Amino acid sequence: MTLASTTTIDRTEVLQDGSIQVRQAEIITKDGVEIARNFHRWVRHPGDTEAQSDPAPVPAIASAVWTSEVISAYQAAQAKP
Amino acid sequence: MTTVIGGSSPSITFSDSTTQSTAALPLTGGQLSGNLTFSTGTNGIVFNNSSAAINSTLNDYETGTWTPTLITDGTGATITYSSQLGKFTKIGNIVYVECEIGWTARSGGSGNVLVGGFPFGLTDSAVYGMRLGPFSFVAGTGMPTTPVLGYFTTPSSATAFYLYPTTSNTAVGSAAITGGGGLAFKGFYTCNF
Repeated sequence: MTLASTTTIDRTEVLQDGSIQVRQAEIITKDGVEIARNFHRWVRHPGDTEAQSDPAPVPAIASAVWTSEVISAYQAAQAKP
Repeated sequence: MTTVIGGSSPSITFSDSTTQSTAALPLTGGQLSGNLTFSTGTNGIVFNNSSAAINSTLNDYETGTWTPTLITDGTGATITYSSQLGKFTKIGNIVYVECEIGWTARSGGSGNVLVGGFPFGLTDSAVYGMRLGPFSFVAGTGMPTTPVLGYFTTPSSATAFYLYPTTSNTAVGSAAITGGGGLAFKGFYTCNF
């Protein structure tokens, strides 16, 4: 019996303001057959530098979606107390 | 549609000649032994209680984890964590979250403190200034002694909220993160997806 674990970004969702919702799946297999899948999530907002350190395809999506106009619009919408 | 109950290959089969030849729900011992899977993210179970199908469709369910963080809205802080535990259950557009976050030290940082890292962005249509809480546990020498609420100040896709004592309109400053401390809460909010 061989148990193995792999992680992959199995879903990304781009919101209207350019934010990217990321889902990472940890897939557990037994003798090559998937027996469990666990999800971990996070969100990257336009201009977040951490996105470039995320697994593929998040950096490519961020580069494509986050134009300077998108980043400026997102930052302008942020409010502080 | 073909329904075959019993025999050597019991199944319920939906046929659509324009998009697929066969889709089946296999039965084992009188119970479904397969999953009912929708082809796109917008498809789901439509409840027959409204003429507006989009508002009556249950199209998502997911459970998982997230990593809560403490961030500041001024210069960045370095936080030493003792725990960062987050779980979520999403049903439709409702996200139920559980969070436990502990810290032992902070260096640098200015401005107010936020809890970030939420798994889904807050919905665009959420009530401005939506609150989450009060928290079930707040500890730390610099933290408020009154109950604390989470306060989303920006409605569109926000994934972090400020901390507010229930008795004050002043957000908790980053100086409150000093020495050791912790926060724990459960709550829910609405998201975009």
